[in-house]
Amino acid sequence: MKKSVLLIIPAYNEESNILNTYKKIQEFNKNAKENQYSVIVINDGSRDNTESILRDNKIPYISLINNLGIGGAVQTGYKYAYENNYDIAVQFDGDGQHDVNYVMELIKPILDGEANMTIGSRFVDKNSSEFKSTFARRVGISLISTAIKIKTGIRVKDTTSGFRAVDKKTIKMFAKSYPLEYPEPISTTKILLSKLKIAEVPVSMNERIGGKSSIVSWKKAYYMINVMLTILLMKRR
Amino acid sequence: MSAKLRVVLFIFSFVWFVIVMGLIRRNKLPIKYSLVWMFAIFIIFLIAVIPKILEIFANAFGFLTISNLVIGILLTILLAITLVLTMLIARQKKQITLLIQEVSMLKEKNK
Repeated sequence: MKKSVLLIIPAYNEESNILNTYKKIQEFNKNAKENQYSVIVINDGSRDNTESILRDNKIPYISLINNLGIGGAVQTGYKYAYENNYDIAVQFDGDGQHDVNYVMELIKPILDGEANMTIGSRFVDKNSSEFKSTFARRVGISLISTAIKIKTGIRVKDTTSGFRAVDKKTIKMFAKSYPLEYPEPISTTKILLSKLKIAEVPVSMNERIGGKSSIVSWKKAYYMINVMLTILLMKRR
Repeated sequence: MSAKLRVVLFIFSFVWFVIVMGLIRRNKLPIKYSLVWMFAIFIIFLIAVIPKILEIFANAFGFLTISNLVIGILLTILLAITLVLTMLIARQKKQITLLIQEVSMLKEKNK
């Protein structure tokens, strides 16, 4: 049976990237006859021309009437996926960091019934990872990874990757409740605590072409403390 | 406790009472949330009228002076109110998020 796949693309002030991202997905769909990906862009109250670009190019989108931040935006995508009965939802960045050609590999463990959620990881296989990240960032990610290991007993390497796919069961779960703060590591922990399975799939990511990362430098220490505490204090089911 | 402090506390609780009552009558403060403030005002008023209570407490909890205990009590009340307010804000943030999501999705459907 063919599974329906939805790419959820959160976009906040992405006027310089969003059209390119969409065009690449369209190109992919043109070549792939069977496994077409649906798209929903969640415009997170952008103040630039993101919305008019989406409207003029007939890109399917939901415009949030106010800025919610990445967690609230992505959850809107999961709600949309749930309402429209999609089998698989993929979180996909609007800034050109993620490559649509990796989506098939990313969703494979879900199609095979081996995982409820997959994470596009920059660490699992060193050879395929061209992602250059700073030392501080790697340390931060591995600290979060350790916190998750302590809490759940399972090692997840790339804890902050925003390139991930979930199955129907998880779509329903995320549609109902999704962490608004620090969504990636917290949702990962939540999944593991609910006894669902996570698989990491090696992917390579592009450098950011434009736009700004949602984690601003001076907030990093504060971010780390918050994430670690939240993970360690999460309720076991 | 000095007579001066008693007078100050008395005036303080009276002025505060007038302000809170005024807010309630102008519909700016729901009774539900004003109760905790009324309770705080009542305690300060009680201290001003019967300072003996304080002496017993100050001895029991090891406060050196009664004025320290007064500050301690005020601080505790304020912290409790702030904690409740923080919880309230967190809950409202969730509710607002839900509203924004649902309204935005409805708008998309009706496009």
